[in-house]
Amino acid sequence: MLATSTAHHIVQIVVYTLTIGSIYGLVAFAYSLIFSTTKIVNFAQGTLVIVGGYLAWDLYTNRFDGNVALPLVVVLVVVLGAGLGAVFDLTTIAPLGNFDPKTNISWLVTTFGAGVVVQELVSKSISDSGQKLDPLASSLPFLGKGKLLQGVSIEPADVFLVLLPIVIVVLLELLQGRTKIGRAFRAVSQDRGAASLMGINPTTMVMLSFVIAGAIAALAGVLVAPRLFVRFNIGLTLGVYGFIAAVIGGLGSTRGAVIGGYTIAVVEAIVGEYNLFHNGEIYKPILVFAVFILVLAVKPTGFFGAPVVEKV
Amino acid sequence: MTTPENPDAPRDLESIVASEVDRRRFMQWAGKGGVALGAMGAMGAIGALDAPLAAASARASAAKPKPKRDVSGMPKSVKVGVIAPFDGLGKFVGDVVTRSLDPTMKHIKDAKLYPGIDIQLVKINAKAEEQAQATTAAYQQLVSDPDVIGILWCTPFGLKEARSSISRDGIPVIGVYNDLWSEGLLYPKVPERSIFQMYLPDLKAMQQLLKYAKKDRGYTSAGLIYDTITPPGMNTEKYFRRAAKEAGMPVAGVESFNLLSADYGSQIDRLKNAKPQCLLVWGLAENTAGVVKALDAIGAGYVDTPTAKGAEWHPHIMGSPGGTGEKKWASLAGEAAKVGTLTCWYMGGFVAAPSFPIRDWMQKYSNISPTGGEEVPANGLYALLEACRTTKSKDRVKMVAAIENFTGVFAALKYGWTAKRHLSLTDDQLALASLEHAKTGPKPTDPPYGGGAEAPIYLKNDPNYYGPTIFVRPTLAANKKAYPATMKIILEQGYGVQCTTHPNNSHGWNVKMTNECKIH
Repeated sequence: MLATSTAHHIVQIVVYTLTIGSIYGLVAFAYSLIFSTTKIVNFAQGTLVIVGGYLAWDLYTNRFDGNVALPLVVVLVVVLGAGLGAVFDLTTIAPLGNFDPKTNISWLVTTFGAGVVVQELVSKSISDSGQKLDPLASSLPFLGKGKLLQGVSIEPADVFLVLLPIVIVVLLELLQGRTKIGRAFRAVSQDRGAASLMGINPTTMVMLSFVIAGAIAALAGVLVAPRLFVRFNIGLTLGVYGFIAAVIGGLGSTRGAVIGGYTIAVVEAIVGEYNLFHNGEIYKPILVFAVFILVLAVKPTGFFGAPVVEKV
Repeated sequence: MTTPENPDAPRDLESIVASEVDRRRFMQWAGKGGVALGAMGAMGAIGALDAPLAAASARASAAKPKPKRDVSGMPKSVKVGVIAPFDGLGKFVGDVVTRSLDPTMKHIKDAKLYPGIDIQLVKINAKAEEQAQATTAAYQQLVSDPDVIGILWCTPFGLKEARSSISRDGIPVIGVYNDLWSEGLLYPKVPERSIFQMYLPDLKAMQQLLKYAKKDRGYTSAGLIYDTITPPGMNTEKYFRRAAKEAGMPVAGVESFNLLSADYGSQIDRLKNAKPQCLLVWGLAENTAGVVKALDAIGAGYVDTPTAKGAEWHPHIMGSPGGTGEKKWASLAGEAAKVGTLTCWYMGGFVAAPSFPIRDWMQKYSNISPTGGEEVPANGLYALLEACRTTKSKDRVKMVAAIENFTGVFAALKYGWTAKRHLSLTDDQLALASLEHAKTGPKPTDPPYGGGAEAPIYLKNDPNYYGPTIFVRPTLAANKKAYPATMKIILEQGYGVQCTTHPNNSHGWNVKMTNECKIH
């Protein structure tokens, strides 16, 4: 009996970590990607995830009236997200010119402000209340129905949520390690001036990072919708948790982003599953922040962050 | 009792309801208004404005109308302060306030309710993100203006913290979206005599639901799962335990979640072990939908009362007005939203009713329809102006006394306060709402129950319509006393869900209803 109970607890914790951790990881990716090329943090990232969800809901439910397959709609939304990422770069970062993000923190205001503007535009033009979007898995006959584990809160819809972050890690690491563009990303990340002298256009690379981050955010919005629904009131918190995940994993590291997400989720899962405190929900953020501080104290660059070495 | 449209021609609202509410209009009333529960969707990570927008309501008996409105002696220039989040995460609350007060002010001007009096609203934005910090600054600004005769506190934040200042200043404050009553912080329990409340208290809603669960359904245990952030937040458990104790209902399991929760597996697991026969879900529509989806995912969705009392766990779900009272929760939860899911509301909150003046003002001046809650700021404004008119002064002490003696009809049904009751809502105004599907009408049960005359109309307009509708039986006696004319129409024409009637599907004032229904 005890063994059964323990096994059930473990299954619940694993399921929670994989699903909820993936949500945090998806948001964290975009932080890491943009930070890797610009050394700034896009504080509108949480909002962009929600915007992706609203775009998908609007297109699928209203514009196409359910007559276009959801996967096609998702592709369109990812493209729109990429475009939105480009617009973000053009409106929030490009106008600041060649600046040092350590001393000039205008980006903090511009990214946050742009997020507010986008949220207002979407809430006025699409919807400002919670909406339901069918899970991506529902369009696949072999995944759409049934239960994965009896008595455990995981559904076929979660398969994409769990697998896609891993796929994204692999793709992004291949991009960064095996392609010219990836090497250009790293060059810009390490030294914009030197990269420029080598024929790389840092401005283009920065925009490209925003484009990819925008696409990932839009995809994340679609994937988290079955669990969180599409709603603006979680954007800010989602952004904060995604940021913490990115920092714990190491800002700039794609695999760190997803590991950071899992780290936060496993802490939450243990608190919740073992009901460590009465009203444990209110202690979850406290413990998450405690772990955040602990990780930074022990390893300031996060799990996978590379230490910054400056030649003098 | 006077009515503002024409001071010389007072009208009895009950008679208006009786003459104007027909089948079609009732359908619009209950359906289009989504049982008039607040359209309060998105709130924010800050927590919480999104509870249902409570409304003032009315008591039954109509007071004798005064023959004429007298504005002589009333100060020539008056200001009313409005504290609300007009932008940021709580903007949707500010939007409701704007939708309410803008047409109301135009109506006041057009109808010449206060001829020769310059009435101004002083709206101050108190962003939800800044919580009490913003409301404190707004209050200080308003209270220092001697022309401000009172304040409409249209945000859940800051009123509790401002009580001592308000007590010191003595300015009339009407809590539009605050629940001090449940916390025992409303006069006469506390000395702050100038604070009044119009919001449906969470405690009252829980008391009503648990009383029904115990006495009508015969459930022997109740559980709770609640949002720790959204008001009443951490007080929710305290209210629940108190309401359960009063109802004689044993508590079996209390769990919590927060606004960002995307997984309820652990909580549902523990509740499954505790096995409460009914489960109160206290949170926003989105989280409520998430909880019932999690229940459905483990095969624990509600079926009917006998099953809820059976060996397997299928609890009867009862939610907060801002959760299961919102049509939104049902559309989000899809098949996991079960017929018979309940919430508590009140008769006076059906603002989409065609006989409610605010509906007409909004359409006439703003070309919009009520979404729920718009009557409250309007009623609060009218109460303050009437206090000023009747006392012929801006003297705060006199105005507070006048509000304590105020009873009137303005934007919706009759409302008011007394010296010993600073909450505008009374128990006989409470009503339950049940989730029903138009497609199937009232869910078939044995024995069958009558009611739901609006279902075929919904079905005609929207084959897939489903949403909360009035659940008549549990509060029938009190509501009949409170609103005899309205209830007469409901009973005779069979609106709402009336459950088992004898003989079957019979209607009328004296119809006999029983609790044989297995759904609710």
